[in-house]
Amino acid sequence: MSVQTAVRSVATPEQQVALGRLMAEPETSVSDAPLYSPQAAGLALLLALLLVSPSVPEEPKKK
Amino acid sequence: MTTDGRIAQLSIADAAATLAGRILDAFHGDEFTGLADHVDSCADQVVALGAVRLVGADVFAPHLLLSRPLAGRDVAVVADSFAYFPAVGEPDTHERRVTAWRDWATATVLTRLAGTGPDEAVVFAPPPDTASAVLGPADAWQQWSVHVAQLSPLALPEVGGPVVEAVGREGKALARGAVRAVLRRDYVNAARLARWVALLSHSGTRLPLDPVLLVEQIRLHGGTGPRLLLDLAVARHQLGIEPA
Repeated sequence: MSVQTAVRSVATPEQQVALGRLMAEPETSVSDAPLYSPQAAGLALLLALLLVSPSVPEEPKKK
Repeated sequence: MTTDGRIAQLSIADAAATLAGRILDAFHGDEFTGLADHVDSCADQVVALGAVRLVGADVFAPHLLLSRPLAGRDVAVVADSFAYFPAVGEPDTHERRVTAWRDWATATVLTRLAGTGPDEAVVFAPPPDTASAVLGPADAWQQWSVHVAQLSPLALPEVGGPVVEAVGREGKALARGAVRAVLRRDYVNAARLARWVALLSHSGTRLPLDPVLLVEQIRLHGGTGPRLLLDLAVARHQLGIEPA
């Protein structure tokens, strides 16, 4: 069958939209390379632990 | 997107992968039977014509890079693909701008190879837009490199034009984008960017990365998708590396 006789005059709107999306494919949705980012919750926890921790024991004074 | 739209998208993507595999055969020394025979052999010729539009200027990679002859029936197939999937009118969105530029590249290469194009209005029209309108600012190199990857069929010799010139001026942003894609393990985009890296390297542009190592890294980790392998074959050919 000839290609010339197989085609209709125009693609369906769904096919045209699908082709447009495939033409401009976005990058895959994997995560970026890992980057360091300080966590606010971790900092608050560290401060809280420092505050509630017992004080450093002092050596008894020699008489 | 509707179910019909999703089915259409998957069908065209599958057909494009099959077509890319046929083109890839030519790089491995096998006979390239041509577009017309390929489309005639497909069960759904309409979807096959959509694949021809999607693969775009890359359907001429064997003719441009391997000096394979272009048959008149193949020109008719490209004309049919433009008749069934009309070229975008006013490129008013990013998606339509990318489509317009890719179509422009297909028409430009076809005109240079055959002396005629699929559609007079498409072939002899000026470039659809400015390069900055479709690429965006190179300072935002993450997004810029994604747009460059979307325009990978323009990274062929004989295409030229404002987009190729604009990318050629931003070797550092291109190298950053390629490395970022490799780090994200987004090898599809990495291979598309590697084509641009190879094109710039071939034209003598100094780049802050080794294009051969980039291509080999993607080859080792990128999998066996025919479209990715075709991108790598084009890049390897321009870098003068033997086919994998």
